[in-house]
Amino acid sequence: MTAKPQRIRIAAQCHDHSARLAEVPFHRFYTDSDLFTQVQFLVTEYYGFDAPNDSWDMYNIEAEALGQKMIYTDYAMPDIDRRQPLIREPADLDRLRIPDPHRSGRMPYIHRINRLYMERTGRPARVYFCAPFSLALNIRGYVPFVKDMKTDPAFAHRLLEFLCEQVLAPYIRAMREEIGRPDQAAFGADAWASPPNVSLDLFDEFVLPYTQRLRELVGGAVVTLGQWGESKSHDPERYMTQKLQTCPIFLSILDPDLNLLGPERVKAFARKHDVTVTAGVDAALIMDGPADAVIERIRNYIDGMGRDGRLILYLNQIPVDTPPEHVHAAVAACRTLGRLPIPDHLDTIPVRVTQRESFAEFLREKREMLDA
Amino acid sequence: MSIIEEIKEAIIDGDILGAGEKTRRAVGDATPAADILHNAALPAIREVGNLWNRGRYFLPEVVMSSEAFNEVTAQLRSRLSEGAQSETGRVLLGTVQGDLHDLGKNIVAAMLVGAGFQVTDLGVDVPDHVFIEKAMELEPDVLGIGAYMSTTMRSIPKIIRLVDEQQLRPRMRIMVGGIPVTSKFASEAGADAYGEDAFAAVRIAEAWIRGGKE
Repeated sequence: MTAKPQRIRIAAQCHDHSARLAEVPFHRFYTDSDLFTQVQFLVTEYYGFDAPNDSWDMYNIEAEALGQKMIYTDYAMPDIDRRQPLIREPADLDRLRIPDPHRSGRMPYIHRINRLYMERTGRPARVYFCAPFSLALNIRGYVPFVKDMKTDPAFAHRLLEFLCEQVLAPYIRAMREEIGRPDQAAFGADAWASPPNVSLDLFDEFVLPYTQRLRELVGGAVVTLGQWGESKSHDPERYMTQKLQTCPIFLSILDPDLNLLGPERVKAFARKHDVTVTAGVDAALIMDGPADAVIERIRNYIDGMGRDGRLILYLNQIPVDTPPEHVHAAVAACRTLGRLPIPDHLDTIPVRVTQRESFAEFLREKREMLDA
Repeated sequence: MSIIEEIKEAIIDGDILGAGEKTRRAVGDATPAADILHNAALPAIREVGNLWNRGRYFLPEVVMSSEAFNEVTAQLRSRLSEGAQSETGRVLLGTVQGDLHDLGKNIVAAMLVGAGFQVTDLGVDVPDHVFIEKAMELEPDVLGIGAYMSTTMRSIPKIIRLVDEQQLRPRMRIMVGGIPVTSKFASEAGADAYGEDAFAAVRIAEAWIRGGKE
């Protein structure tokens, strides 16, 4: 039985920002599992998130293992070299080398991260992968894949089927094997499958069936999420219903869409479908601030969606140069305003943000404590 | 339906092959290239903009229509006299250094061409100094700077500072855009405008050329 939550929880998608805070070379951060894990746990502790930062450049691992050319820089996560897509023409699909899910590319880096997370938390690590649609787009290129879907749908389906059967299902099985949990829930990142990048009809034809296909192939809970674009969908309720089919366990909705639709409308939909809302707070707001604006956004979301406790706040992809005080403000707002039961007049409750030491000072204090 | 109407419909429908084939047929039948441009291609791409603004079209439809439009205009280019192209202004655009994303920029470029602008596309991963050198060489009316990652958008204020060091404004105006870019960021970076999407970018550029303020 799950204990009733005492307060609204807050977590974050944070990796480039973590590397910058810790002043570690980006290339090393994204290739050295031990460094990555150490930094992410320290950043989690520094900010006081309720769940450990456990996200990396999730869209790249399988593409890189397939042979997609990547670009590593000193200022950001690795990125796909979009000038050189792996599949330039349909015949390239038949020439691809199928990855070894335990050994290819940076897959071993991920397996080790997952083991380290398990060791540190005592809980099974989450299994993350790149969803079929986003992976197809990343190795084919957006415009070519749009043309495939529109003029050669048989090829688009063949590519997606290949990715599910030959790449993703083996990789998900391997991640589960490595942590000794054959039924561990698997989460697929699928930001490309978002309006206006796709229409809702294309979503029905090229996104939904392949989440389902993965479920058939690997069993257990498999969800794809990270889609945004409700405000561009022109039928948000239809789109949110589609998203619940890819992720039935909660409704993930991200800013700016959440803010544009309004928390009340989203909560009404979630209540109707009996799901918790994961509310992604705007990366631009977190970066630009000011702290008061961050606090007000969180107040608005807790007020509009958190009264039954079925809300998780999620700082969505904290930008690299975000001032730490904005993140501290978000966490302080969640701690102050998110205690259950939520008071009636949330707008009258002040949020005090304590002046915090820098991350470097935090590290120094940690070292001194350990030395003592 | 006239051949002009057929070409227009093919562009709106995103029928790339059809648009190309019908244009070849029209050119073969001695339909003036200027007629095809002004009565089929340009009205079609404007209609695509309307469909986007009204929420009828998503990005895949815009992409297909842009490709169809490009297919048509590529065939007309050599047949159009300079005057017939009636360019409304010159735009120089590119994606900042370290950033290889080009989807948004390419659509902006296609829409600007559709609106009659002469567009010079510097591509992706463009060093800061190249923006400046090309701006000095080509003297565009508008400099468009795209950044699609929160890490690479930091180049935008640097480029704008370099523009101002060379005193290229106010003759040239600067518009910025891209997924992580906000109107607040654009304003703080010193840009003259934030192009929220390709159609907004065209609207702003047209207003500037007309001498108005967007």
